Amino acid sequence: MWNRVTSELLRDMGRIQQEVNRTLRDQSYDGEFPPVNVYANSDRAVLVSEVPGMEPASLDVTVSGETITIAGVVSALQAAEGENIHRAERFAGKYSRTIRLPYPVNPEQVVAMLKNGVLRIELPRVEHDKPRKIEIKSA
Amino acid sequence: MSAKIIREESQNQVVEPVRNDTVFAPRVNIRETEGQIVIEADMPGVSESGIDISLEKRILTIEGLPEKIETEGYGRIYSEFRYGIFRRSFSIQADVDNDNISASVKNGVLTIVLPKIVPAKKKIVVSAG
Repeated sequence: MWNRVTSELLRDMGRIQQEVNRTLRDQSYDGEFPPVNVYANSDRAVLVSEVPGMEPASLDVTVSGETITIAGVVSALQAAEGENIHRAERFAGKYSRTIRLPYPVNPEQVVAMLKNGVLRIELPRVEHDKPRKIEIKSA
Repeated sequence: MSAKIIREESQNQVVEPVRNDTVFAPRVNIRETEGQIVIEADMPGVSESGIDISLEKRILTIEGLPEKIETEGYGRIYSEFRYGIFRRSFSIQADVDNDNISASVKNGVLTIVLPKIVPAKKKIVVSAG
């Protein structure tokens, strides 16, 4: 009897796996929402995040030392009267991402821009943390 | 019955793009009422000029080409998403008024409204006699 239960369970799990694969295949990211890329040079870091559908007012960005947090809420899709929802794959719910930057940044000089559902945040490194070239004197 | 109205086409398409870009399936929400089907697709980075929509033999194909992210002078140190074309096809199993399909892009979300052809209700008077 247990063998039968186990085999049915395995079959169900296989079906669930197939369903998940079908839904998630070939997407530009598969981790947490919203996905984040970070670029940097010795003077500044740039954080880019895909936030389709977001308005500037619905995004909360906070910077503290060498961490940055992006947070917000997307209201869930609800069927109106006489409406059927066939697919609900777009993100809905609360989100919050905290990313550690390669160095502390100056919160006063952070600039965030939203264009076509892509958030770009420019994060200048704090002055005292920047690498300095040391001049070598000849004796 | 309504669940069958939109069926997804296989991604093993015979048609191949010339550009060697990665192709991603955009995440979608699909809603349907008696009068219309509404498709919303996440296409971050795509503006109006980057959208291509076609409906042929009941196959609706949506495509979006996002703007490239400007990263010159920077090194990538952390990465969760990749750059690519968004493309996905759906088989529309309802009669759609092809001339009145509308599409718009806002904040990187493509919205397509497909009005259905609702057959006019005819009242048939049965006369006795």
